[in-house]
Amino acid sequence: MKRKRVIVISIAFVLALSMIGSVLARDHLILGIHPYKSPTVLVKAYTPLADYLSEHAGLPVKISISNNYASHIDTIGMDKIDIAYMGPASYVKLVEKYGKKHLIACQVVNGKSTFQGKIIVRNDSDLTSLAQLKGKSFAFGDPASTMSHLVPRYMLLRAGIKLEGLNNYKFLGSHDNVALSVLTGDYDAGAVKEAIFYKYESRGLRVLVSTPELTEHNFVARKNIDPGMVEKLRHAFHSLGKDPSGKRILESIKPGISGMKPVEDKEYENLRKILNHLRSTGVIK
Amino acid sequence: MTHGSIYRIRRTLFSFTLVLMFFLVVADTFIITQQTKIITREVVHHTNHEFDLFSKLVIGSLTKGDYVSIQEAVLNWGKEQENLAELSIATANGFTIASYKRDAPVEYSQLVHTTLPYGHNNTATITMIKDTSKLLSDIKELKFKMIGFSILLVTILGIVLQRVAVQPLQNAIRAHELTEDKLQMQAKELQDSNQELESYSYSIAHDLRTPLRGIIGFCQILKDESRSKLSNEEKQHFDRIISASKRMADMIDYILNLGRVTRSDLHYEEVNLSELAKNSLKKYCTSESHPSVHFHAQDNLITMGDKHLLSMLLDNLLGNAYKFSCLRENTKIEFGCTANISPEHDVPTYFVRDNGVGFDIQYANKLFKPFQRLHDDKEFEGNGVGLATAQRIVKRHGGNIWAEANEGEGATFYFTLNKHNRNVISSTQ
Repeated sequence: MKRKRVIVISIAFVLALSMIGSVLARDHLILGIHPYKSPTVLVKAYTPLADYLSEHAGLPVKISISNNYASHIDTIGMDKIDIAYMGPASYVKLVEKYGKKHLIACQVVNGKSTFQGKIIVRNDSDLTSLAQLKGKSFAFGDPASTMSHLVPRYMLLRAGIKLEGLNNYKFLGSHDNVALSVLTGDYDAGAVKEAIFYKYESRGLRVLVSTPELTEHNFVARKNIDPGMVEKLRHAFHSLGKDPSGKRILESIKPGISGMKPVEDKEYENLRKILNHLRSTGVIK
Repeated sequence: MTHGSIYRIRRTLFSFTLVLMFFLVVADTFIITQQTKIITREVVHHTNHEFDLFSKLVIGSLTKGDYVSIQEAVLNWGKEQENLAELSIATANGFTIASYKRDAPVEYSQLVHTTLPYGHNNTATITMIKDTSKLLSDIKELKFKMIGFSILLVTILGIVLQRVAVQPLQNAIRAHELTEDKLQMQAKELQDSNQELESYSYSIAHDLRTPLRGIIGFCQILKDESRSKLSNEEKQHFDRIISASKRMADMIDYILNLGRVTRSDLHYEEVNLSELAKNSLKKYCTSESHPSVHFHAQDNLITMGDKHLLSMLLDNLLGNAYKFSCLRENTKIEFGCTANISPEHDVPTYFVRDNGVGFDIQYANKLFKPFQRLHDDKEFEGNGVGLATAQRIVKRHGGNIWAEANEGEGATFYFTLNKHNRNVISSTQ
């Protein structure tokens, strides 16, 4: 409890500093991270990157962990932080709400800058197509998760299956829970990200259908940043995968990241379409 | 108080200790059995309780669809529970959600498992194997403690009893033995001084004979040579001196004889008492010279003893019998052996019986004292050492002598010879 409170206070302090910084001429850069892990873990994981960036930008780089996904979007949207690490869905929402930002780079995981989700069933399942899921039970991960809910939900809708058309469904929170719920026989099918499918495949899972490829997570810079700085940052990020020290920095963020590559807004178009469809059908707001 | 009583006390203590040990073994067995039951029951209860808690947690998580937390719980439970050997959760389709198995092999274990329903239509089987080796080692430790305590208890008790009961007794016996040794030493000293005194009186008696012989001889010479000059009264005085001196010489001889009986070494051999008795009486009378004397000796009374001394014994007894009965018209003297009269059992009791003048039994205590006489010298001649000598001979043979008599109705002298105990014989000197 005490530790959490200290962390929250320190985050608030960093945020306050960043606000002052946005008004005054900045003497440092702020790297914002969405809270997909605990703040301490994240600060530790991103410190090598922050040090690397400060070398290339010529300014100290500080790490800021957002309170939640929504505030993360708002903070970068209102240009209160300089650089932000964004998930694909968050990025789409950011552009939609606050307009385009400077896309710096998108991550390359195991040589791929796109990723997939899988709709999974047990090896012994009779199911062969999405349409057959009607009247079956289905396990989702988190309601806000791209691969364990949003994209599969879109695919179900396209296959003509609404939630009411399912016999039973549940949001189990994590991808692991979805995989295990299918393995135990509690649910006929479920949606998980690729990595989780591979983790549990040998224990008796197979893919019913794969989701479309989506462009990976990216780094954006605030809109009103100095153009020279944008170039410096892009250069710095794109060079990361080219030498061993850079690879170590990437490994620290997430094992498997092999590099950073240039990315354009249009690469997120397919996701944008999916989200728009979900919004139009009332699945999300 | 002897070594025998120590042995008895030791035996009692040993029996007591055995009984105590038996009770301790029974008590130990009872306590260990009960304690084992209690410990086992506690462990089973604890395991069941733990298992129930875990099962509730698992079913709660399964119902929520939180499988990951089950995996974490199993992992944590496995790490934290020292005596958990195996833990697994499997669903109806045989899929194992999570399992934990300790690397170390388990010697003794307790298995608990249950299958519980959850969710819409599923069941989960939870299996837990507890390592109960510690329980067994606890019981083993309890056994060692109980047995160790019992041995300690018996040992301490043994030491205490030895100190309290046996040691004082041993000390008392040691003190008693010391006193006995001292007494024996004193007795030996007394015996030595007695012997010294005896040999002293023997040598005095021996030395007195020579001057006495001189007195008698010279008195006789003086009397013979001065016969013409002496008056009748003076001659009578000489006669009295000579007769008194002769009596004195006789008494000295008797004392010397008595001393010889006491001091001479015993030579044991087989002795025919019947023959000795017959020969003895012949010294006083024969059937030809005294046809009125009827003597009967029982045949073949054979014993072990000193032939010379036993011959002296019978001489004295038969001599007395003849002396005090020869004046009867029909003298009867009998020598034989009776059974069961003696105070010592299984020892032959011999007797010499006569039908003479007898004596008053109230003076019987004077009979065997030297120079003590129950009859007048004029009536019956004698020196008063015969029975004293007889008693000494009997005593030297480890036996007893006593008499039965009535005045005017004869007397019977009984004696025993303890031929089996030569040590006793020599120590009664």
